[in-house]
Amino acid sequence: MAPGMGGSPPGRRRPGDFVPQRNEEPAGELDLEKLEQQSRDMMELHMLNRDNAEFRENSGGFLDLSYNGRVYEDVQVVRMFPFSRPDEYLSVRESGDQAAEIGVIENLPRDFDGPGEEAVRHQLALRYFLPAIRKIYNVRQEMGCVYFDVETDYGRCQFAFRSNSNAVTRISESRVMIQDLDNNCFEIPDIRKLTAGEQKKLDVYLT
Amino acid sequence: MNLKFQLTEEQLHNIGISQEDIWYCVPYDLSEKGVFVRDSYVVVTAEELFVTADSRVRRRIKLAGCQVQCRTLVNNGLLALRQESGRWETLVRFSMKHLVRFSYLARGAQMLAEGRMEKVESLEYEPVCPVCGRVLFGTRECSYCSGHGRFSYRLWVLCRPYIKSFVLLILLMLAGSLSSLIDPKVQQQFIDGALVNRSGGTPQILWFVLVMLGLTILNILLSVASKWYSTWLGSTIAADLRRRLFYKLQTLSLSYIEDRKPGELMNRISQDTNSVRRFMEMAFSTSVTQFMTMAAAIVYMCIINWKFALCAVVFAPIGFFVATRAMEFVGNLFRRWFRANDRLNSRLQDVLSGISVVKTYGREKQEADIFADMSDDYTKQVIHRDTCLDILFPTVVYIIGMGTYLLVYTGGIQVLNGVMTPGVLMQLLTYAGMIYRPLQQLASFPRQWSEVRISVERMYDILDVENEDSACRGTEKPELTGQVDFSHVYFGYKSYEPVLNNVNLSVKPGEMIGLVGASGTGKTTLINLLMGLYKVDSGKLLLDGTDINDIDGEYLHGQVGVVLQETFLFNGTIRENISFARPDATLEEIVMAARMANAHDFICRLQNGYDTYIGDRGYTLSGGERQRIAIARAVLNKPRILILDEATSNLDTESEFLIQKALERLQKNCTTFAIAHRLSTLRDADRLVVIHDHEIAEVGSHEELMKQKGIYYGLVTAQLEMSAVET
Ligand SMILES: Nc1ncnc2c1ncn2[C@@H]1O[C@H](COP(=O)(O)OP(=O)(O)O)[C@@H](O)[C@H]1O
Ligand SMILES: [Mg+2]
Repeated sequence: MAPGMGGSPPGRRRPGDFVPQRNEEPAGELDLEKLEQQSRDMMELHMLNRDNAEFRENSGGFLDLSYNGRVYEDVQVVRMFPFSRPDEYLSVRESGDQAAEIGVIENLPRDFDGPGEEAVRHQLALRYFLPAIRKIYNVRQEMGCVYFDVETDYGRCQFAFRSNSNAVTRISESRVMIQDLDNNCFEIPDIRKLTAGEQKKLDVYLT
Repeated sequence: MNLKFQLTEEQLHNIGISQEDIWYCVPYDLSEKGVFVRDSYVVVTAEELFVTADSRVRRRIKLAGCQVQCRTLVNNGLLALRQESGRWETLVRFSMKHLVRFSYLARGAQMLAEGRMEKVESLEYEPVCPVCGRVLFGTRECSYCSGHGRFSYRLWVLCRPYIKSFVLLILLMLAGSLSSLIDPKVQQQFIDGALVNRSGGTPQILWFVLVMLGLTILNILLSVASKWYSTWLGSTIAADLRRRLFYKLQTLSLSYIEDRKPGELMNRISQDTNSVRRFMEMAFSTSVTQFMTMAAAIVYMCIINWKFALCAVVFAPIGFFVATRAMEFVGNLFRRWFRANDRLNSRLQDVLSGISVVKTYGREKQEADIFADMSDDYTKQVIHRDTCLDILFPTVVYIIGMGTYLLVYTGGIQVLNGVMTPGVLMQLLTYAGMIYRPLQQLASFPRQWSEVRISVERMYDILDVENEDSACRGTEKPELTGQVDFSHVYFGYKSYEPVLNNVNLSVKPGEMIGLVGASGTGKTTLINLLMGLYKVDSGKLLLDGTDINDIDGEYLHGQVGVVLQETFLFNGTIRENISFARPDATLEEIVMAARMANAHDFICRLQNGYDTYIGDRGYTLSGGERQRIAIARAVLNKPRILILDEATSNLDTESEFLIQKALERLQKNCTTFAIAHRLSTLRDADRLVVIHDHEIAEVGSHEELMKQKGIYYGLVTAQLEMSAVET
């Protein structure tokens, strides 16, 4: 069974209980004006920088943002191009399921500094977990499955994937991603830096 | 899936609880900074939640009034908790390995926090064998621990039904190799008996020639027979495998198939079965004969003089040692080659089916270049593989064959000393040749063995999966009236990513339900559940009081008519497409169905009428025409439940109206679920169900919902205003 994202707020809605209103404006007053505004918003990027926005880490370890005179709690920072541009084009979104975009950080080190930048970096490190493989100790193949034992920059770990799957993919000439059976991802930033033996072991599974 | 890990006495002691107090106990494997950690757990008792690290308690929280969430991040997740009137905070981090467990734990802890003393159980399989730590591929039983995963076992299972044929084949081969073994003996008699002593005359020579001729003919006959027989056997086994694979693929859950590239699956059906056939035909027949000949030759040599036999085979162990060490390497050569082959095929399939997109964006040149690169890569793999094999195996054969030199040397000396007759030496050398010659032919054996080993592995990848995650695997065939009940249904394509939460809905026979909601909210998903394509994660989906999981799938699908968002028509005539679900439908029924779907008129305008060939080749229909054929296909079945997923989205308003009128007549005795973005389409629905945020938000008739001024009201007014702008 799918437990969902954890607990539901007490008093979950049933189909019988009608919900006359949403928290925001009553949906009934959805008018053209607002749609127009929304479509304009869609075409516009709100750029965040040190002059108009301030990030702060709150006591729970999540991120708060003050922007345009409003305080947003527990905002999410999402990379638009996680592989090619990890520090640029970060989308800052409200929390929740259908999170709206508050704004965009075009270039983190350029547009922010000090504790604000730190706080955003911390959020990113929390959200994006991508251990890089430094060393391959052992590769064992058994009955359709490959078991890797590796050293990553987050410590030693073991993982497995199907030998006949597309688990190992090249995302650029030298960069390789491995996705294991649990959907964990591992990165090899530069495959040429591995030893020839390690490269050979990997090469068999490269898609 | 285990949600209650066993803690050591020391850990329990540190927490100050006993094993029986534990409701949930799940390990986490990342520190706050993301470093991998061990021996760290989140423990939930009826009242409290503990976080331990290295068997010490780090946090202790009273559950009452808390909110607990499992949040999915990118490649990791975290357990977040909010104490009463507090903020959300991170408790622990974990990799995807434990994500599913934590999502159950969060749900369980939340229920406890709300004072509901219910236990969450997980029906999902463990991903890893608890005994040996090997990965389980969607199976309950570990194929290693049971021994069923070993290649030899699989090959045995594959061949078991044909065991009689195998015995016969082996007897044929045995006869063949015996007949070739008599040859040298006759020669020896002839040389030593007739030639060396010059005692024989012309009759002896003639007699000898006749015997030789007879033996040769017998040999040829036997080898032709065994060759033919093994070809037959190979093809039969391959055909059997192909049939099983295809059948299995069809019954597999959609989620499994969606995970793979279509080209890859095609290769497994067409090519991997072929490699089994080739193996049976070529490798098996030749190798068994050759092995038997070799064994017999060694025995014969031993009988004559065991020292010479030893000379002949003294290098063999070295050769075999090299060959077995090379096996893994050769296996990898084949793996690389299979992979390149899959890639090539998938790309081809991809581009050809999307050829119109390629052309409209003028990307022919680029696609051709990409394909050329892949083709080069494939060629490189083939050349590399063959070069390696061509060097490796002749070397092995040569090593084994080095014994000949020893044999000639020692044997020659013995003949010169008069200890041995030249005829015996000749016979020995012939037998030695019989050991080495097969080896040359066997040079291709390890290669074929490797190939078939990988192929069998790839096929069992499919055959081993238990189809547990698709619904309706039962046998019951209840009389369906169209009553449908969803009760507390939860579902997500991935168990940690919910798409539908707590769906409760009871639909009476003959009712028309309109499903409304933004795209991506799970309307199609709800329909997929109803069709039994996926299994609900928790809760129950009842059709006429019977759990959908207990219903026979084929029976169910015979009672459900479906028109999907993406219409798919097969290669074939319009008539064949309409009667897809019921090939025995009469022509009148087909025409009536087409009329109902408002397709009759346009079909009549086609030159070939209902016999017009549609699909990849032949006449191509417009989107609206395809939809109408799909509708005809659905109504032909006289379904008890009719599902229309944006079935009329590509039609003009007039055809839509006509079809609706026709469907209304049909709907009298069938329950209808209709999804439409054009809300006017659903005006006549008995009840509208608004799905919002993965839950049912509103239920009621058009009038009721309009009065209520909720989400539906908003959608309707928005659409009205939009159309006002358009006109
Ligand atoms: N086969 C699938 N595998 C994984 N996720 C899926 C699959 N089909 C749909 N989804 C996801 O489930 C959600 C609901 O999809 P769907 O039911 O098709 O929405 P709707 O029909 O309401 O537009 C979407 O977020 C979509 O991305
Ligand atoms: Mg849909």
